[in-house]
Amino acid sequence: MANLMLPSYLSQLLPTDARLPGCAFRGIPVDSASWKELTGEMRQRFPGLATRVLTEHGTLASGFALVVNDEVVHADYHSLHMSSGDEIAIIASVAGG
Amino acid sequence: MSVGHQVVLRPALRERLLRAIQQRLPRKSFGFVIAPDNSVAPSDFVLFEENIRNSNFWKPRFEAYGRYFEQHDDAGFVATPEESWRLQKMIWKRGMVEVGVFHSHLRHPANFSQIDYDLHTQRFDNLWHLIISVRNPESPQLRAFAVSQNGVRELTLVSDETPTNHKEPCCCSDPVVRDQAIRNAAQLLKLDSRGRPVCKDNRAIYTAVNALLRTGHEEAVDELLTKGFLRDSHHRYADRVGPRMRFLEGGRFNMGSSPDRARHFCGESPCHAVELSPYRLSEVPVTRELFSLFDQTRNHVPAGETQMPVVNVTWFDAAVFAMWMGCRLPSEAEWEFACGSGSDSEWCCEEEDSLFRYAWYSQNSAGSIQPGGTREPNSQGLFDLHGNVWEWCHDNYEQCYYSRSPVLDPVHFASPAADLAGNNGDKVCRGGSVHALAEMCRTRYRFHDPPEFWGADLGFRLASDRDVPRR
Repeated sequence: MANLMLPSYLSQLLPTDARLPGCAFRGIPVDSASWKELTGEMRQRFPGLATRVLTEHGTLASGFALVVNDEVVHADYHSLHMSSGDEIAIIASVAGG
Repeated sequence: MSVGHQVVLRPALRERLLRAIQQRLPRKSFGFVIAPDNSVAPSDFVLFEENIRNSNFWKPRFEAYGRYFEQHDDAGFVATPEESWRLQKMIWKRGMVEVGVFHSHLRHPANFSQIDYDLHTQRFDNLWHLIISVRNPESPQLRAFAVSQNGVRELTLVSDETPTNHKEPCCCSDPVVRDQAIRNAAQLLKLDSRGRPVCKDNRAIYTAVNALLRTGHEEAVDELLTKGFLRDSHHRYADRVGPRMRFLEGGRFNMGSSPDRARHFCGESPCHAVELSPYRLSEVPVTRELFSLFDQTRNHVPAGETQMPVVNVTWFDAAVFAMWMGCRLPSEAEWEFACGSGSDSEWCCEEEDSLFRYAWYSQNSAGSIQPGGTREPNSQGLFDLHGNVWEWCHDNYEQCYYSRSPVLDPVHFASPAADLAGNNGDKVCRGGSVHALAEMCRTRYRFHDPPEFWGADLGFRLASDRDVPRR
């Protein structure tokens, strides 16, 4: 099982029973082994989060970044494979005028 | 984390944040405001150092928002994913959470614009947004906003210090208070040999005039104000101002915006009917030449700049000057009617593409203030209501005022107690400036600043009720 780590502003989009007490950096266990599986799992288990961070094509929405095992993934996260114990984070990059 | 109506920003945090921003000038500052987990009140902030706003990917996206973003490559910010991740880990390590986003404005007031709205709502559902304007570095202004898909609402910024008990001024019928008010007025309303105020503190003059009027002492008012401070105002009006005052018929119009058109603009709803009595309004903002008659410290106006709008004036400067000229500041409703003539359009023209004909703003000014009256007038013969300089109005600003303002000649006055205590509350500014985006120049756009604030693009124009039929 991999762990999905979310900042507070995204963890608040999880269903109440999926939220962990305290800071979300402890991670939420996910069963997925690939990006495609993860997007499916997010849509099923965390629809509020999925709506916010995913496009309809299954890519990350503009403004968000994917981090896997402490490395920012810039491209080709479609070929991502996840193993047990992997740490996956989704974060936003602040932006404005 | 729900956002209520206010944000607590403790003085120590506010000072640290402002110091950090000022030390980085002229660079833009941006980051998160953070709090201990399960707390709404922020206790710290994290600041980003890397900005990829000018990357090949982002630059054209910013420039699509207008020429301002082409001319100022320091306008706008995007954090790198790498730094976002580093700071995220640090926030988690400290057991903190993000409660707000902040960024600084170098030239603009602390307003929330379309680009802020687009980029914030793409990312966040539940963080508020703090904007810190350093357009006047000596007087930074902070505004906080709750942002959602339904629009933007300004939040009240409060410190958690024990509230000061504002002393209610004693009753002016008290002879001791009355005599003190008269003595103060006698001192503060003195004029020099050229008829200019000796006192250079216009806040003190404004407060003294109010206190004097509240005494109800007709002889003192007549002696110190009518025949004293204002003794030559009718001549000044006739000689210097009257010829360029436009008569406006007034009448009934719809003020403000309906909620579906208010988008990310604050305080414009509800759209409501207003009926205005006839009034006069100056064709152009007060010029440097005109203001120099009043303020001897500004009497060296270089040739070529005499017709420039006067700027760096506080609301008190504007209000006292207007009085000394035998005029007053326009109310917010008068300003809006004069600008848009009650039409449904966003500007005095139908389309944004035509705005350059009427306004000096970010699309055509190159950031330089221009002499008044050098664009086309609107249908009422008035110049520069859009752009060039922001203009003080008489009204106190209140976001929800439109929901309770009277129909006939609305003016939101400071309470007499607040006026006398010198605690006057923010005042309305309208119209945008040479730095403003088109959205800030809109007829209905409301902004506000403290009455003691001044800025290099903030001026005013005069209004008057002289020789107009009253309803």
